[in-house]
Amino acid sequence: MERRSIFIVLLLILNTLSWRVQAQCEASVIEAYNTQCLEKIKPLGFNFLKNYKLDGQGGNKRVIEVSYVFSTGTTYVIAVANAHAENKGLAITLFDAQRNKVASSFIEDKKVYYPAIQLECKKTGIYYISFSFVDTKEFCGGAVLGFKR
Amino acid sequence: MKKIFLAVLIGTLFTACGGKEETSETKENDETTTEETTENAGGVFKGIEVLNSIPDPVETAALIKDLGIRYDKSALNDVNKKSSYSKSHEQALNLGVYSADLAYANIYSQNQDAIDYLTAIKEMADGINISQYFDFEKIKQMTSEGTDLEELLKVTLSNLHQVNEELQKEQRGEMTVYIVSGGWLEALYLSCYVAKEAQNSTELKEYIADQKIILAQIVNLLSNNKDKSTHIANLHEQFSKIATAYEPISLVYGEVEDTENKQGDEIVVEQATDVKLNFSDADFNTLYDTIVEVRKEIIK
Repeated sequence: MERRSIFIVLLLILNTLSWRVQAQCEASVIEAYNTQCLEKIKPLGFNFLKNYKLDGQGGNKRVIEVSYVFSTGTTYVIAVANAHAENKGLAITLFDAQRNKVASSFIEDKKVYYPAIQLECKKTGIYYISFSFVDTKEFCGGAVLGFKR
Repeated sequence: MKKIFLAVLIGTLFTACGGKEETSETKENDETTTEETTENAGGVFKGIEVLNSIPDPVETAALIKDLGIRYDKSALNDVNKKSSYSKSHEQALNLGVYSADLAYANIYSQNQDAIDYLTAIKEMADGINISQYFDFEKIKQMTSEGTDLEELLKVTLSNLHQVNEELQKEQRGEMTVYIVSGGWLEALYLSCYVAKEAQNSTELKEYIADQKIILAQIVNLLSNNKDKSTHIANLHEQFSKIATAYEPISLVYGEVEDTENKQGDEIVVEQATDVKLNFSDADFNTLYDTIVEVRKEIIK
């Protein structure tokens, strides 16, 4: 009986922890980050294309990857936002179709996180956008993909 | 005691499952996550994640406008046809078609036409039980008030993306295939339609040639799933005709040089490469005729 009670308590703790992990990155929080991203790209003349929910699930997911076909003659922007004004701990890395790194928003030697990457595309193809949580304990953010001609 | 135990267990599992639903673009058992998750979980359509990468029709509309080509409503699918689409696959395909038309009308700030296309989209969405994911009233209000285009695009595109995510979660991936395929085809048709009229259409022709890359992905997806439904098999057959017409067409790229600069708050990458376009007038006419024929079948 006593062992069963301990088991139940453990389950309750697990349940609470699980709830807390989700509460840290709720849809409304991500929506707010996405709005921040949009505010960043709008003055630069970019049109909205897609937003991405970056829920690292309390650290279980350190890298979230998405893909998109970029077209020649179009300039794309990928912007991120998280709880830090300087996007600390949230990096964007862009890869081409052959998985060659095109750019990263994280300058590792200076520990600087840029909030956006722009690509003036001259080769149509699938590109992979990787969002990484780096040296952080906050695993929540938002990202927006925009374009302009 | 058993009841408490069960309640706690169910609570824990339910919470965990809820977390999974929040992240349709993540993979559960890996540190690196990709958009393919939902389909792996659903297990219905092989490789459906490719649809998340397909360019939105709004990009095509922007290109057309950018080239200074005037708005031409006659190019679009007639909104009055909406009530003739009674089967779910027809409604999903034409939801995609109308969405591309909406993007085109939107980008040219043709508010009344945009409202008409929204109405048509709503009817299609009702037909396939996905209208709950659209905030039609908000979109309609924004359109009629001439709200900032950027905000309007954000709301309409977000709603459409949510539809595709939810359909995939509900294991109704087939509907997503129709919506995205219909939208892509309509955008391709519009670009060809205006290229036929445009005097100097090299940029458009390069854009159209590049669509071969996307078509290959869609045809591959349809081919891998054509045994799942006769409508998918039929769509595969139709899109394969377009692929055949594309065979002699290509845009060949040289080596790409990426130059990275830091400009203000951003990393800016400029690409440079040589391109060679293989796209004769005869090839264009064959492609255009094929696209018109396939579109006719979809919007009939």
